[in-house]
Amino acid sequence: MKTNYKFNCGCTFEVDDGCIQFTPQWDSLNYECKATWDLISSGNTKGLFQIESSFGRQLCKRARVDSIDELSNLIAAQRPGATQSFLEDGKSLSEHYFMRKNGEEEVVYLHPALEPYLKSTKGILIFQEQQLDIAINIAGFTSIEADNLRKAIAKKLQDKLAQLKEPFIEGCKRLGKINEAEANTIFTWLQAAGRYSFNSSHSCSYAYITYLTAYLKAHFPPQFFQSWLSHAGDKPNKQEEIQELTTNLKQMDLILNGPDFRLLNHHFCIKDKQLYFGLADIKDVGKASLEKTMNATSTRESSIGPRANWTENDLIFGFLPYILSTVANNLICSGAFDYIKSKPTYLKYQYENIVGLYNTASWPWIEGNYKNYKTPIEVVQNLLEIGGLKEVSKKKVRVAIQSLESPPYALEDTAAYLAGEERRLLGVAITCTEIDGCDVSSANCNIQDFINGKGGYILIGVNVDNIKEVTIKNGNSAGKRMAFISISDSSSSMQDVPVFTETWSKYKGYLTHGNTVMVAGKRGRDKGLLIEKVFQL
Amino acid sequence: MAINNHYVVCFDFEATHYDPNIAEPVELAACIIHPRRLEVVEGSIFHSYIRPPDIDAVSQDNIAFHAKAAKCTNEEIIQRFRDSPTQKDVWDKFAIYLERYHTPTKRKSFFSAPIRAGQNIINYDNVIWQRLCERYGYVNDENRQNIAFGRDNIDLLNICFLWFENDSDGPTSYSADNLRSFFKMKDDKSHTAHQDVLDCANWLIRFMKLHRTCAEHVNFKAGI
Repeated sequence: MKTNYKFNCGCTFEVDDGCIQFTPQWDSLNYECKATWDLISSGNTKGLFQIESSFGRQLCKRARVDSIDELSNLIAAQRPGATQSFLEDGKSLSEHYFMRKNGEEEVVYLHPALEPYLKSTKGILIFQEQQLDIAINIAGFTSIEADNLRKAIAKKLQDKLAQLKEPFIEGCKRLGKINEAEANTIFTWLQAAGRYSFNSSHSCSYAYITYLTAYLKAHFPPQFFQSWLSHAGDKPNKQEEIQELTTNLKQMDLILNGPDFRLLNHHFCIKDKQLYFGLADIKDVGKASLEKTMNATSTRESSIGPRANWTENDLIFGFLPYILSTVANNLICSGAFDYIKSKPTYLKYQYENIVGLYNTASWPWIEGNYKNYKTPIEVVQNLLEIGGLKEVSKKKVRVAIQSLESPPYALEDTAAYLAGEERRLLGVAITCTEIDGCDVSSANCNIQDFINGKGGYILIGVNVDNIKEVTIKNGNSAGKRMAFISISDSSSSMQDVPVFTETWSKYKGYLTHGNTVMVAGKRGRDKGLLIEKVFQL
Repeated sequence: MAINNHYVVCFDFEATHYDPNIAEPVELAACIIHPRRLEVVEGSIFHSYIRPPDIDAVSQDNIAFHAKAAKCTNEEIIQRFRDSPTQKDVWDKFAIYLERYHTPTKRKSFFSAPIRAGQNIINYDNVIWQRLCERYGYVNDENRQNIAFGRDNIDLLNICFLWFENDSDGPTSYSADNLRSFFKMKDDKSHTAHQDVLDCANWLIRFMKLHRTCAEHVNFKAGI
């Protein structure tokens, strides 16, 4: 039965068989969706076409766009040409555009005659099409002549420019909108603008795609993140991408879970509005080995029952020995069997000590009787009671019993171990982070509190995930070293937190990859975290 | 040199002979030192007795030595040898244990593994370690052990020498017993690998803290 579902923003979709039906179509897309424009303006642009970089996010927050034209201007203004073209006052063209857009600077034109062509971009020449308009309407060029001028400017063809300058000035004089001196100035200005101006049609096409991605993120966030997470491997740094997406989805109140063997999904999937890692998303679980695991699962389920009802014994005696040991270990360590309520460290240890009995003389007895016992150790302890075992098999059984009864090290699921394994196998720590194993009672907030606006003196216990050390090129500190670090705790994470020269030289011993530290500081002028002190946790 | 981010595994074998080339381990203990916190990582103690491959070949003197350390009879020691897990079993478990303490990395390897540390390890324990790795397949293409960091070893013997070599009031020798007495530590459980390794880790932590404090105030000039 078909019904309709209406979002708070007013967008309505057809619901068929419990599923919202949505096929992106340019003609029928609602370009005035408040939720979509709010999403862009809030800077929540991770995963959005063209504006997902941290710079793009900052500009979106600043520009607060609400139409495709403005979005198109923003996309053009954030390009390197515009951001690296500085005027005499030391500010870039982009900076001027955003200041004028927000009313922080008066909109002025080089000449009043240019206003009709530059009005949409607040007096800043951003697009090549604006050059064409000016050449046609101010200098009386034909479309072909104007395009020749555009090409000459864009490709810096000095001979061609020299040839076109005279007709341009003559044309301006003929139309009489500006005088000769002004025509000279405008020609020079057009030439300079050629360094950064961008094709409007190109930018506009980008804007439509950007809007569509934002629309999808605003209305269907789980599906949006499912898709992005599935393609994280296409990015240069998969781990960093998954980390960023995980942070972002947490901020949107979504939940990402580790793999769940009950779902048996190959890739990221959604169940009950929660996202789950797929089994093929676990490191070293390849296509072929996963296929074998799938086959083994269906075979084993027919003899020991559905996997959702498996016990620890079913897993250790009835399933894991029948799959590749690497896959078995990685499934355990990534938390795929957490639903069995057995500690991963202990489960792995039991598996490693019992798998050696597979295919020995004692295995048929194990297969037939393990369901009569509660724990794996009970099963193995009773093995010595059965008759007919050769001394070699008995030896193996004794070793297994000894190992299970007195493990040589504590089989604890420490936060550091679990988080480390999840980072290694999934690219991100999900169930906990290293910091969960530390005493952070002296902290006064967590990362999410800080992101939400906590002010004053900040003390946060964090895990250092990544460090980029750089040498400062300009200014008073030229030649000195500073760093940008990525930090996380179980609430959220922050990328590219600057650690300035003095703090870096003093505390770089603590700010090492994987270390857990307490950072103290305050909110900086750019609202980011300004680290002042670091303490070892 | 980058700041050390490798865990340090402080370990000790009790073995059947003073010559490491023929000694077979009968006990192995280890603990992990956190490289930044400089403390023994909670829950990181590894301890296992090991069955010597040929119990009959163990000398009576050696059995008596272990019996004295464990405060039990020679027969009890022989029985302990018999009841202990095999070398392979212990070494496999030890390799898995060490994997838990690699530096954070995408792929665990020889380069992310913990640094070996202990008392007189370079001349004694490391030789046994290498032999066990060769015996049970924990070696790289060059036949070098690959479960601990390959480059560095921290031997307390060397540290003690560098620190006390000009100190007439220092310990009279660098044996564990002497150091224990010099540092005024209890010796009622000495020569059990478990206690020795914890003592050694604590000495090492003291020295590492001391070195870090000193290093902050010393700048080496080019060419020293």
